[in-house]
Amino acid sequence: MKKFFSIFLTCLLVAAMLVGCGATGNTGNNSSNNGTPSSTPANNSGNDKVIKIALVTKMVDSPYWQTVKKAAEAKAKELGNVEITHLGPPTEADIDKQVQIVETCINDDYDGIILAACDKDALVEPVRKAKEAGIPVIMIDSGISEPIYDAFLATNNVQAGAECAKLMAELIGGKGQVAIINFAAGTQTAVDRETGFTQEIKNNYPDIEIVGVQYCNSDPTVAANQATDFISAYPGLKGIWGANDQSAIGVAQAVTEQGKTESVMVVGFDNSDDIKAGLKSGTIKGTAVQMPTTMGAQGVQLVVDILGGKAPASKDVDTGVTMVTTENMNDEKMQAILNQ
Amino acid sequence: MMSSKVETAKNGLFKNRSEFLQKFLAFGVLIFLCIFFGVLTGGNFLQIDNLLTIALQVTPYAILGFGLTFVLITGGTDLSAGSVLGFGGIVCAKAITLGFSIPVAILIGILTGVLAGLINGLFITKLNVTPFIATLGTQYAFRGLTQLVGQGKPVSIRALGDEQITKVFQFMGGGTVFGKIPFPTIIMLITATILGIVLSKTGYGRRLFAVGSNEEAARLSGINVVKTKLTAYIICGATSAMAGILLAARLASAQSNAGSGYELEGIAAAVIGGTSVIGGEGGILGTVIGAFVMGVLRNGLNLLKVDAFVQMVIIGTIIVLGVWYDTSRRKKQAESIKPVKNCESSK
Amino acid sequence: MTELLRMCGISKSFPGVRALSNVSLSLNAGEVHALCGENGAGKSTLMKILSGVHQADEGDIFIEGKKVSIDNTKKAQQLGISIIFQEFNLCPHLTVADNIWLDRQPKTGPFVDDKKLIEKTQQILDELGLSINPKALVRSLSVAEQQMVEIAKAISFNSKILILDEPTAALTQSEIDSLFNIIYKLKAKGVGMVYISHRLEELARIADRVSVIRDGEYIGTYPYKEVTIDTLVHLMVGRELNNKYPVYQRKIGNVLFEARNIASNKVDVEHIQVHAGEILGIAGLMGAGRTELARAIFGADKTFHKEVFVDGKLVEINSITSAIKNGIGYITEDRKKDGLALNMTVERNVNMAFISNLCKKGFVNESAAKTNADKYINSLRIKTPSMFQKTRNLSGGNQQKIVLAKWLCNDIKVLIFDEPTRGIDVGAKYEIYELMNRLSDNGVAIIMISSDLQEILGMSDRIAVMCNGRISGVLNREEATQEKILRYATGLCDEEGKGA
Repeated sequence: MKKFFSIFLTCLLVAAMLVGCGATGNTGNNSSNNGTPSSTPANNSGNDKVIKIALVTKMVDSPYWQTVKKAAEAKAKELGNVEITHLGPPTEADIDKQVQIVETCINDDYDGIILAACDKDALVEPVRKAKEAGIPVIMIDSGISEPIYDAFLATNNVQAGAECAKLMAELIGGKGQVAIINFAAGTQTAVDRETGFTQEIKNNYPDIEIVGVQYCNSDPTVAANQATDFISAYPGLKGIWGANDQSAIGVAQAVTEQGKTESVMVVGFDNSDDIKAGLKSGTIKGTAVQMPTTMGAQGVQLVVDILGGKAPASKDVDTGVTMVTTENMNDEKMQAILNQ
Repeated sequence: MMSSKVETAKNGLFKNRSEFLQKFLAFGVLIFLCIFFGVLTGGNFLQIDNLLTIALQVTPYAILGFGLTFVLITGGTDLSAGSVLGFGGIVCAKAITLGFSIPVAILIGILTGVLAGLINGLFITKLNVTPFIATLGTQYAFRGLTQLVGQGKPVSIRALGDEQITKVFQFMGGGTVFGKIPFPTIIMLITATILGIVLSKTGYGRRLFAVGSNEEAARLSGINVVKTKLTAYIICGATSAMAGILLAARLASAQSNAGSGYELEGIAAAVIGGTSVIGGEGGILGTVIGAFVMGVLRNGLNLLKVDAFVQMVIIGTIIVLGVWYDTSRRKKQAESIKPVKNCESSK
Repeated sequence: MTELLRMCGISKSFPGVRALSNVSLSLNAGEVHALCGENGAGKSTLMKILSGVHQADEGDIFIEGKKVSIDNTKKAQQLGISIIFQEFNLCPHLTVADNIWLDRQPKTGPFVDDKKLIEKTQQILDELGLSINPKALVRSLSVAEQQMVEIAKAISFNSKILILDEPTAALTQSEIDSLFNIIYKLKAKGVGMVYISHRLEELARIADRVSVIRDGEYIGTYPYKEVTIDTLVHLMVGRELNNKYPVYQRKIGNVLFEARNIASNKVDVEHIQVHAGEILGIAGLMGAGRTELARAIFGADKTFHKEVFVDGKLVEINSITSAIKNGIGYITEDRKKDGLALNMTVERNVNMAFISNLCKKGFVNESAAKTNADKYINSLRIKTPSMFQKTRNLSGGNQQKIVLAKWLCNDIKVLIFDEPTRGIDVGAKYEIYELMNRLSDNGVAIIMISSDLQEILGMSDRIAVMCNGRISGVLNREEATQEKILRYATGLCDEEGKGA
C-alpha cells in the first residue's frame, strides 16, 4: 500500500515537473536562456555602418520587458542604422547569468549596452569592463551602486509620488483629509513614493491633512479592509491613494462596497487589467503609469548620441510617469500609454 | 470521611466553573474588546455598519481557520493553507475566464483544494513526513502552481468585460443580503454550523478527537487513523480553496499572491479560540470567536487611529499573551486536580 | 546509626484537595525505608515535597539535624537528595555519559572534555557494577538499564538520600535482582533510600523499616521484620483483604481461541490455544516477545504468517478492525501511552472502540453513548464524579477499568490483558482480578501477560512461558512454581515444538 502511494506520488511529482517545464518552455522558447540573441535586423537603408546595441534586461519574457524591447526596436527603426539584440537571464534571480551575458557582449563587439541590473553590486564589474573596452553603458529601470555608467534612465519614484499628490489635490479641491495605503513598509520604491506624496502635500497644500498610512503587503484584500477602516474612522475622508496596483485595486473595492465612489477619490499607481477596469467604471479616478517605452527609446537615442560624440546632459534621467485619469483615458495618446 | 466529601463537592464546583471559563474565555475577551473599543471610539465602533464590516473582514480568515482547526485537532498543522487558498481562487477564476459557468468554476476551485489537501494528507499519513515539513514543502509547491496558472499576474474577471458574470461573482465575495449582511459572512456561518456539527455530533468527530488525543490508543481501538487524518487535511484543503474563491470573488480578480501568510492568521484564530496546537482539543465556535477577536483588534485599532507599526506590536503581543494564559490555566487545572478517589461513583 | 533525614508534621493542600495532613518520616544512613500506601494516598506528593517539586504548607524538614527549606529541585540536589521517578527524566537522544553529567560535563575551556567525561562515567558505572557502555544512546537501552542510568546519575551528585518511586514496576525478575544488588551496595556506602513499591513481597528482601500512609494521613512506622504482608495490606487499605487473589472455581469450556504458526520479526509461535472461561498466563522476561505476540494476534503489527481460529472457524485477521470484528480485544501494557486518550472524558474513552455501533448515518446517538458509558461505570464500579470527567484525573485502577470497559462494549470473545495491574494499588488490583473472573464466568477466553510471577501463579489456569520470541514451555496451574517458570523464561530448558 505504502509502496503504491510512494510510486503514485512520485509519478505525480514528475508529472507536475513536466507540466512546469512545459509552461516555462512555451514562453521560454524565444527567451535567451543561454544568451541566444533574438535580434531584430534594423532597416539599414543605404547606411553601411550598423550600430549594434545589446539590450540586457532582468528577464526577457515578461510583458514589461517586452514593452521596453518594442520601444527600443521602434526607435532603432526610426534611426535606421541601429540593430537591437535583446538578451537576459531566465529569471531576475539569475544574477550570475546576467553577469556572463554582459561579459559576452563585450567580447562580441557590441557598440553599446543598455542594461537593467539584476543586482546593484554584482553588475558593477562587468559595467566597468565594458567602459574600459570603450563601450557606452546606459542603465535603465534598476541601476548599480557605483555611478560608472553613462546615464541612468528610471522612474523617479519620489517625483512620481508627488505627481499622484498633485492629482489627488486637484480631485478633492485642495482641501480635506486623505489616507495612504502603501504596498510595503521599508522597501526603497515604496518609501520613495510615500515620501514624494507626503512632501508634496506638506509643501504645497496646507489645507490637506494626511490622516494615516497603512501597509497592505501588496494584498488587495488587506488593502480593502484597511481602506474600509479609514472610511469608518474618518467619515469626512476625501481621498485614498493606493501606492501600487494591488493597493489601488483593494482601495477601489472598499470604496465601491461602502458606496463612496463619488465622495472618496481613489488615485492609484501602475497599470493592470483591473486598474483599467477601475478607471473605466470610475472607481479609480487616476493612476500614475510608468514609462517603459521612454526607457527603451531614450536608451537607444542616448547610445547613438554618445557614439556620435554628444555626452548626455545629466547622468540621472527621470523617465517620468504619466497620470492617466478617467477624463483623459480615452485620448489616443493615453490609450497607447495604458496599453504599452 | 466527611471532610473529603465536602472537598469533593467544592472540587466539582471549581471544575464546572473552569470548564465554563475555558469555553467562554475567548468570548469574554471578545465582548471586553468590543466594549473597550466602543467606549474609546465614542460608540463609532459599535455602529451596526462597522460591526458588519468586521464580519466581512474576518470571513476568509475564519473559513481558513475551520479547516486548520480540524488539522490542529489531529495534532498536525497545515502551513500550505494560504497557498491552497491562492491556488483554489486562481483556478476558479481561470475556469471562469475559460468559459465555465460560475457554479462549475466554484466546484473546480474547491476540488483543487480537495486535491491539494489529499496530497498533503498522503505525504503525512502514507509517507510519514511530519506535517510541519510536508506542508512547508507544499506551501512552496502550491504557490508555484498558483503563479503558473496566473503566469505571475492576477486573473481578472472584470477584464473579461462581461458585466453579468462580474456582478454575480462579486456579489458572492462582497454582496449583501437581508439589508446589510455580507453574503460571504452567511456562507461562513453556514460552513461553521456544518463543520461544527461534524466535529461534535458525528462519529467522525469523535474519531478525530481520539486520534488527536492519543493516536496509538485510537489505532488500537480499531479507529482507522490514516483515513481520519486524511479527511482532516482534505477538509482543510477544501475550506482553504473556499476562502480563496471568496477573496477572488470580492475583487472580481484572483491574485497570484493571495493568501500568503494567511495560514498563520487561521492558526492564530483557532488557537485563540481554544484549539490546542498539540491536538485533541478544539472547536469551530472557538475559531469563529478567535477570528473575530483578531478582526475586532485590527478594526478597533484602526478606528483609534493607532500607527500601523504599533498595531503589529500590539496584535502580536496579545496573541502570545492570550495563548500563554490559556495554556498556563490548563496546566494549573491539570496539576491541581488530584486523582478522584474518595468520591462516590456517579450513581 | 546517624539520622539523615527527618520530616515532621508535613501538610499540603491543593485547591479542593487535602493531599497530606501531618505526615512524618525519618531516614537513617544505610537504611532502606519502604513507603507504602494505595495509589493516591499521598506517597508521591510527600516525595515531591522532599525533592523540591512542591512546597509543604506546614511542617519542617531536617537534614542531618539541620532545619532546611527545599524551595526547588536544584536546592534538593544541593542537599544531596535525588529522586528517581516512575517516568524517567532522561534525554533519549543523548549518550549515557551526557545524561549522567547533563550540564555538568567536564570542560577544557568552552569545550566538553570527552575523554574525561567517559572516564568519570565509567568510574561510576564500575562502582555500581553496571555493564553499560557510557557512549550508548539512552534510547537504545532497556527500561531496566535506563533506570540504572538514573541511579548512576543520582550517585554522580553524591546523593546521600535516594528516593526510588516504583523502581521495579517495569522490571523482570533478573533485572530486579540486579537492582537489589545495587541497592545493597548503596546501603553499604551509607546511602539512605526511601523506597516506594506496590510489590510487598519484594520489600522483604531489602526494607529495614516501613511507613504507611492512607488518604494523606500518617498511619505509622514499623520495623519490617515485625509486620506481615497481611497486616501491611490491612494498614494500607484500612479494611481486611483476606486473599490477594480471589479464590474462584472457573468453568472451562471448549477451545475458543486457537492460533497456529504465528511468525513475525520478533515472534515465532507454533501453537497457542485458550478455552472459553480459561485464563492463560503468559510469563517471560522483558523482551521475550510477549507483547509482540499479543500485537501479532490482535493485528496491530505485521506478521509473515498466521492462522487464527475463533470458535473453531478460521478467520483472517490482517488489521485491528478485523480483530475486533472477530471478537478479539487487547488491553495494552501502558494504558497512558496507548490505552487511553487522557485528555478526553470517561464517556468518550469507554465508547472509543464502539463508536461505529453508536452511529446512525454518521451521527453519534448521544443518549445511547451516555447509556452505554453509564452501564459500564456502574457495572465495573468506575469511581468518577461524572462520565464527563477527564480520564487524566482518575486513579490508575479506575483508568484500567475504563480500558476494560472499552472492550466489554464490543461483544468480545477473546481478551488479551497486557500487564493488567502494573502501577495499580492493592485494592484496585483485587477488583481487576474479580472482573477477570466475572469475564471468565461469561465464557470469555483470557490471555494474561504479566511480569508479576505471583499474579501469573495466582490467576492463570495454564501458563505459557516465552523466551526469545518462542513459547519455551507450558505449565498447568498445579505443576507451576516460580522456579519452573524462571527456568523456561531464561531458556534453561526449552521444550521446543510444544504449543500452548
